[in-house]
Amino acid sequence: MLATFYFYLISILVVILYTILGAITTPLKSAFLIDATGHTIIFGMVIGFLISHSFNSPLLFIGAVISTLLMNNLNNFLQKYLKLSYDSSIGMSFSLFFCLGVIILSIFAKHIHFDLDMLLVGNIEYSLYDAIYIFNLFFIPKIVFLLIFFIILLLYILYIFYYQIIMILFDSEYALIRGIDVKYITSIILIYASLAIVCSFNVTGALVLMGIATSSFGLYWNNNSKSFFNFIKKGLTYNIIIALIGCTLAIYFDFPIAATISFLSATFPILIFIFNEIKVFIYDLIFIK
Amino acid sequence: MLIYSLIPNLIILSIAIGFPIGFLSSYLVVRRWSLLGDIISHASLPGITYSFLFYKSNNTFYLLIGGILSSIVSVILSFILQKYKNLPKDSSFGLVLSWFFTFGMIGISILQKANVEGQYIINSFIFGNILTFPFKDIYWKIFICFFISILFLFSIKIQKMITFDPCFSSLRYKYSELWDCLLLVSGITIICLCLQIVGILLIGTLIISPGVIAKVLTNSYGKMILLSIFISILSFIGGVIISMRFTFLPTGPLIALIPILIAIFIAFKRYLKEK
Amino acid sequence: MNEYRQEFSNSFFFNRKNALFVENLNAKYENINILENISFYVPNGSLCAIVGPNGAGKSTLLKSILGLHKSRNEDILFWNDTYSKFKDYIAYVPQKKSVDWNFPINVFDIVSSGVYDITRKFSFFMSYDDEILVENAMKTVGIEKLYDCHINELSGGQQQKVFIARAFAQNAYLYLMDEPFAGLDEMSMKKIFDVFKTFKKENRTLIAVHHDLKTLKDYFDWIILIKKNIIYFGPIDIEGISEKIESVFK
Repeated sequence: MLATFYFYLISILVVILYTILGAITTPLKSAFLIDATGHTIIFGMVIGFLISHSFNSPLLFIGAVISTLLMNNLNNFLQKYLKLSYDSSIGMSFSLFFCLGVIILSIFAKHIHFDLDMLLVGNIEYSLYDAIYIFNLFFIPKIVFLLIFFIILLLYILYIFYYQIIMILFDSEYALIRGIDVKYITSIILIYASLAIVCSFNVTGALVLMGIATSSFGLYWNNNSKSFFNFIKKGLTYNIIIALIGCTLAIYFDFPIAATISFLSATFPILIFIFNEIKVFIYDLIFIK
Repeated sequence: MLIYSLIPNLIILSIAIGFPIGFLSSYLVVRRWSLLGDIISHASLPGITYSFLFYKSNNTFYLLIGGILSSIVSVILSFILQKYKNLPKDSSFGLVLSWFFTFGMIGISILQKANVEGQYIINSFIFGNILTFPFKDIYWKIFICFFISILFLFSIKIQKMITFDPCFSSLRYKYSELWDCLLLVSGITIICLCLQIVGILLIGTLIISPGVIAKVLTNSYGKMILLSIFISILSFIGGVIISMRFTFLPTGPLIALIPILIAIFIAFKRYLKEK
Repeated sequence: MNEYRQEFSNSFFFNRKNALFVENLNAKYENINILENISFYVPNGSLCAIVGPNGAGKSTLLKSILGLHKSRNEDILFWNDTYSKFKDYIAYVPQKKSVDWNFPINVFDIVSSGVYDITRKFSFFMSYDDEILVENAMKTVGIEKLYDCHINELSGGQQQKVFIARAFAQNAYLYLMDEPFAGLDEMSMKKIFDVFKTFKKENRTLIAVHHDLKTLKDYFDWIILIKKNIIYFGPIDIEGISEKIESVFK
């Protein structure tokens, strides 16, 4: 009973985190930044795991941040000297780290059994085990605290740099001329993103991150907003509802929760679009002959 | 010993696959659809998973057909979204990619609960495993690769026309849109054929890298195709041989790593030149 | 206006001789020399036009002055001092906008980013003076009714006006504009130029890339003729200027 409540709570928290983060990173560069970060941190986490031999050590976080920063530098390096578009260069940068991570994992960690599915899709159930127990009856999973902390941190970053972030997202060249330190703010966001992704790794897995961040695509879907604040508000409303529905369906059918939520997040817009097109098509057929 | 006897077969396969991948890579890069490789590979997962669930057979033929069909649907959907909903290109690609891929993930979890035999084959599609590649089918696969390479080779002029200005070419030449679809479908086929060697997660980079490197080195489309073919054959052969020598290493990352290292090397050379 | 901007009052700019001084600027683009040995100055309070054929390096010149394009061996002075000291007083309207057209922002917010002040950390609320500045900037170019529109809903000319209004809202003393009148009708062009004429009285300088040779003498009083090198720079009101202009385009 309490576990079900925590499933819902954790899904909602994760969705809130990635909606806001997606809203910032999606216009910032390409939509794939979160996905790329998720793949890159596997390298850092593998190295951290090999040094510390534990899944809970802070070395995993540090490794994740370092590998994200390295990937970002490699991305800028390739873009500058090979004159690539952003998509191509980030695709190659994160693949380098992902390949190295998988190779190192197969060399050194052959004897360690790790759940492939958890890597891919995440498993919320496991995160419930690592909890703080009160009176032997009531427990709060540590991940809830972590997620709430990261959401508050993100809101704080947004509060301090709100106007700067909007200017960078809208017109980065202008922001540069007006004296905004674009590199500094971008690296803060990147470091934050890598930490937050490591934290929620348990819940979402590496590959479904893209799906959760699909919420930001949903934001662009009916983009009539004229203010970044309303944009985020609309996105949050939509995604929290999707998270609730998705969690219910996932629990009922015993699907992985993160995968269901991201699947639904994309399904409704696409279904509505298809129904609309069919309606228009039938209308034309009947009335216009 | 058994493994080493496969090497001649593998080298022939690498060369045979390297050609169409090189063609496809340069076409997609010039057409500015470099993400399409990623979408096609990720979107093939539900086709593979659900056809496995449906047929309950280990025959990869059914899995491949399923994968190809679902990739075709995903590409059509993403282009419809771009056209009728005016969604920006990246957003439509990303939306379709995650939708299909998460749909496939759900399928995998259904599979696990259904406890069907031989599910490990799905993992070999996701991560790539040269040892599970069915060598008895190698001849018709090489034939398909050859046919697709010929298709690309004969349509180079049309490709140049389409990539430069798609609207103009569709007005000027009746069949240009048909060729576009044909080349895309061939590309989807060849990507699905490679899935078992390289894996879904990494084939996206393998499609981008040879074309991107070739584009950096030359301005002519013909030379770019040759270079990209050369790089992709090199990556396949290199990755396969290293993977055969060290069998505990997964093939996919090794193959995908080689073009990226070449790109970093070229960028580094330019960096030194600038200094 | 906060403490930072009050440091440089109107009289400060009134007393300076040259708004911009450039010496020995060289710029490349992919190993091709676009600009070679560029040296010129622009007096304070002048309306300066940069004229040249396509590919002459006009946009590159503006970008190099602002530091957006790498250049070598140059000495660039703004009011006899470095760029970083007067960043807030220099406005730039580029030719190609590197803007995210889908971003959720309305016209009023775009124009009000002109009054953005780097020393202010919490900029949710603008002061009354700044709001008046933004409204005036929008009235000047004629887009005050469009304040709640998304930029995607506007025509090309209206979008251009938004970016010009943003530059005006900055209350700058040097305006660098790259083909600012592309896509604008003649009435709007005239209206904006009337504003520039009032700028002249306030010792504000305009440097604009201009391509319409017919209106050159009506609107500008200083000219830079460029074709990879400086062919001529100086007052537009001299003998033989038309021949010089024609020779650049041959």
